[in-house]
Amino acid sequence: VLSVRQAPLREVAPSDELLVERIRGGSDDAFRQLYFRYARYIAGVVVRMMGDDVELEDVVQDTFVRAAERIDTLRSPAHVRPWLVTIAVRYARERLGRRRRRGLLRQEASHHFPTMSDPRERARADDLYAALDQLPEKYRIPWFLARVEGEKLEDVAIACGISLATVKRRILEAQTRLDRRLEVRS
Amino acid sequence: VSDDLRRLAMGVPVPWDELRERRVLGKVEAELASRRVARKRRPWIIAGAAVLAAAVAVLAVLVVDPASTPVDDAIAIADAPATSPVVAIPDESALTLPDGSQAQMHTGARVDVDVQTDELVRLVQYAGVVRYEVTPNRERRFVVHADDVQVRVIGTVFTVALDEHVVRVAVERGKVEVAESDRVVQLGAGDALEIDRAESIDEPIVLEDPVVELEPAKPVASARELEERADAARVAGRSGEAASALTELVKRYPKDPRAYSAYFTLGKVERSRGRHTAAAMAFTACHQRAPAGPLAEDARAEAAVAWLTAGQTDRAAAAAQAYLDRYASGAHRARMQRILDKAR
Repeated sequence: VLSVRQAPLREVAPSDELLVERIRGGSDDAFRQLYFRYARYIAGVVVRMMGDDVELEDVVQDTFVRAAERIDTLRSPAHVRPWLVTIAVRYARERLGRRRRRGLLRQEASHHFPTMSDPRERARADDLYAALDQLPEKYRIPWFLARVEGEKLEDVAIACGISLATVKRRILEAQTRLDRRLEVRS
Repeated sequence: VSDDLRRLAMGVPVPWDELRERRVLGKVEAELASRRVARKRRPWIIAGAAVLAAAVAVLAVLVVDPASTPVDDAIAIADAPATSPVVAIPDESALTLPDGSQAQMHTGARVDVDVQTDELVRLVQYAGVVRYEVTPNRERRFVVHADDVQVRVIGTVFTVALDEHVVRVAVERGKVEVAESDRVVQLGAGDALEIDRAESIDEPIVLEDPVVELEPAKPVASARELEERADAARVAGRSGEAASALTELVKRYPKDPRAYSAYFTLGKVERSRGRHTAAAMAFTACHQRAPAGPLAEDARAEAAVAWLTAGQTDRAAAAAQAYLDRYASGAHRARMQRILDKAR
């Protein structure tokens, strides 16, 4: 006698692929689900990249507006997260570029960027961000995406618009410079 | 070393909370909606340049077969016939929608298309006199917004006129239901309604005095400083201090963009310390300030909930109904429907 045991039904969050498919079909609810799934993550990427939250909301907003309008161009719906990161990085870089031209980099950071509760950790984090501030963007952003955000190197290359080999070189260079600066500070 | 740096970098808290998340989502959706409208917008919809400056405190709902409701004595029904100047409009500028509906605009009138889909046509009338002749279509909602005035149409002919002092609604065919809060007036064919805007039936929002007094002899804080003070107080759990800072912000800087979200935050803060009437007033002020703003939908819903918690069932029901009228498929529709069910 054959018996079939059915697994209990349970509610499963829709996959990224399914959400993308629904968004392409015009579902506003699916878009909101995607937003609530990744907005905090994207905000983290942006705030760590930019060093403050002065333009955080603008970048997250631009990112999801762009994503909604260009969702049909996403080739692999399973990769929607790195795709969002790519868009966010582009907007963050644009704004960093504008700031640099105006000499405003991290001008208001101290007012907005929250600190950690442990004073020792806070001092080390401050050192790290101070060292990162001195790194040119072309080194800092690939390093952040790969070493902090844990993005795959291929995705970092796409996000930064550079080759995989260049990504590797820049991350290595960023790490060397960071280690040197942090060593001096300690 | 790399893992340690990663831990350090990731250890810095991301300044992203529920309010920010919802605020940005609202902005994203508003931006997408405005881009959709811009793509569909036609060149004939703008006439004149006047902009309605103050909010109009009346909700006009046009229905084919409205339920019978009590007549409010605060609204005077004018005996102007349908052929009064309110309705007689020179055909200076007529616009025709794809379904055959028409809007004839008097000089100085300004109308904008907000949404135009198979399910919904939403026009925003900023000023002047416009006569609408709407082709009946039960599959598609037809709504005219004039700041806080909302005219919902199934199929009829009517006119909305706005000037500095009065709002006039005149009906040629069909029936009109003009409502505000829990008070309603019905108009039939040939009736006209004139409401003095100075004697608005919408009660002004007066924020309750904060429980915690502000420290005396301090220099006047900027809007930004007040916002930061409120944020810090909220994080530290000092809700009274947060309420004081937010109240000062909205009173001292009513035109500052921060005042809009400050009203919403104030509503949350007041709710958290059990001052539900104050919370309802703050949420109401938020959506009244920008009826199409990113927080408007949430603010309307929160106001309804706060009124109910405060024991003001009638106000809660009116707020819930207003929400459902405006956001028929909104995220809070189930909650609003429950409030209405409770109120019955």
